[in-house]
Amino acid sequence: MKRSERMMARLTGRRGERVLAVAALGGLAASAVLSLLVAPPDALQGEVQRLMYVHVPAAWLAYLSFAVVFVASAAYLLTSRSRWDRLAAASAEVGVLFTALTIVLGALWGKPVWGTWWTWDPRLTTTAVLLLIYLAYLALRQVADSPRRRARWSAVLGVVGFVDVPIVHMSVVWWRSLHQPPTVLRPGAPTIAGSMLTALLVAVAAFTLAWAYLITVRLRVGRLEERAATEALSARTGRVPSDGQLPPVVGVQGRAGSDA
Amino acid sequence: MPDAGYVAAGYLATAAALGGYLLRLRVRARRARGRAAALAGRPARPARR
Repeated sequence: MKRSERMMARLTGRRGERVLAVAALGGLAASAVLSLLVAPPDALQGEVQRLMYVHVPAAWLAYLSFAVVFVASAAYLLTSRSRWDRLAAASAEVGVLFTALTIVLGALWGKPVWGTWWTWDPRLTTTAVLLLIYLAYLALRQVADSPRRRARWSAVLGVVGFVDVPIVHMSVVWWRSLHQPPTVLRPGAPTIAGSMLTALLVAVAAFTLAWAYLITVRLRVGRLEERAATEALSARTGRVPSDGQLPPVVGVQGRAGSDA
Repeated sequence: MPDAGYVAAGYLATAAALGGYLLRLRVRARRARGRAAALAGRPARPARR
């Protein structure tokens, strides 16, 4: 086992999972205190601006999740190792969760500030498209009848679908938008007060820990489901796939078929 | 605080989304473990007569 693999195994082991859980819970509690009690209300928006301390981290983690899907998908296409497919699937699922959360939180902020839950603004529209792309990715994983084919098709979509992420981020710069332009990830100094920036950065760190914890749990679920599929395959055919490779046919509920 | 309801709804939605997803993962893990254990208990191939 390589050094990087050993480190990954330690991080995703049950002990690493527990450490991440405790760190994420502590971080989220600290973030809630800073966001709701310590940071001042916004001069123009008032209390509702506090939603930014959950909306912005959720959007950042959606970007991060889909970046991981992109890298893991490219790695699967190059190596055909099942661990990359599992990582891409885990990250896509968590990314969809955070994208949906971003949209819901944005709507809750939009109603009192913009006077509407939803508008076909470039940022909102491209984010909705992003959600649809990765819902399609998850749907694709359900329909393919062979694990290898499923992994290959979804890896292609995982690479191509990532094109929308920079479009979402730059939409407020490229097109006329109701949505405010970047306040932190921009050329020059952030356009936000120091106490608010601290609350935001703590929130981003805490949510990133929670994201890492969800990914490790989802990876474990993926390994267990793959093991169940392999057991089913070997019970039916007596064949066991080679180490690290996906079985060519579906083992549990799907149809048996050749890999094309 | 006129907009406190929106803020409360946002934080509750976040907690529900993260907590709900985690619960769902735990259920999936238990099911997969049970399925693998049940299948591993069977003979690899049906016995020939």
